[in-house]
Amino acid sequence: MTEHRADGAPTNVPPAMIRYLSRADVERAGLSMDQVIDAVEAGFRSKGHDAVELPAKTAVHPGGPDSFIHAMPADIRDLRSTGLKWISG
Amino acid sequence: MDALRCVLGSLEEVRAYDPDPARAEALASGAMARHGLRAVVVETPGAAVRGSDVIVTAGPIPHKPHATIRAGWMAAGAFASAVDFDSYWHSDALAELDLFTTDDVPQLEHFRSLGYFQAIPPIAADLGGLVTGAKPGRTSEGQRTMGCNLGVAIDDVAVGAALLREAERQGLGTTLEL
Repeated sequence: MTEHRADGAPTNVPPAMIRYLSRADVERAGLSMDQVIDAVEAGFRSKGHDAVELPAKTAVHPGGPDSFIHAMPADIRDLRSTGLKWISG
Repeated sequence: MDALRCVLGSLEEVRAYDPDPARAEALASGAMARHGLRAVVVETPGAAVRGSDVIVTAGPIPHKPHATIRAGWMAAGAFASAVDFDSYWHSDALAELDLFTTDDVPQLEHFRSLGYFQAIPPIAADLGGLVTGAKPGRTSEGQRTMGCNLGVAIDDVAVGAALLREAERQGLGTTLEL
């Protein structure tokens, strides 16, 4: 029988883990520009087949009207990849 | 420059312009050192644009375009990549384009509703249509074409997925508990 915490989450399920990549990790991974172009092309091929979800960006403006932080989620079904782009300017 | 070099094997010469000459010099030096290209720093935007086969603009994005590039500068058959919205292009120069594409039409229309892109020609295709072949893209050598890609999240999600696979393969990163 599954036990649950007060908030309803089961207690005997292993915790979810994420892999955090620092800038140095990203550079060490050494993706080539050809690999980057291939990945972006695959993403747009999916978009061309209507197999992506790409909602409009959502903004907050913590430094006033000339500042922004955009939240930009996307799902690429063919690549089984979902993520959130979070940019500031 | 790295990306251009991947897809344009016939690239021979780079003409770099920046209001800050040191930045133009850095671009030219990189083109020579990293890619073995002939590279020159030019003193005016016109010298960078006139006669070039590929024009890449990447400057500030003011609400009203500074419209530096004028009609008659872009050669027949040239391609322009506008990384900085339509900021660099005068409306008369945009009117000379035979083909205008973007990465995501709803996003461009959103920014048009905010006052950007008031003088662009009709949007012929998005990148998805070009990649799948649903839209033809350039149909003759003499066409003046522009790709104005604003940047969307699928760029980052697709590359992020490739990066994660490589990081897992190499055992890179720090595992954190949620």
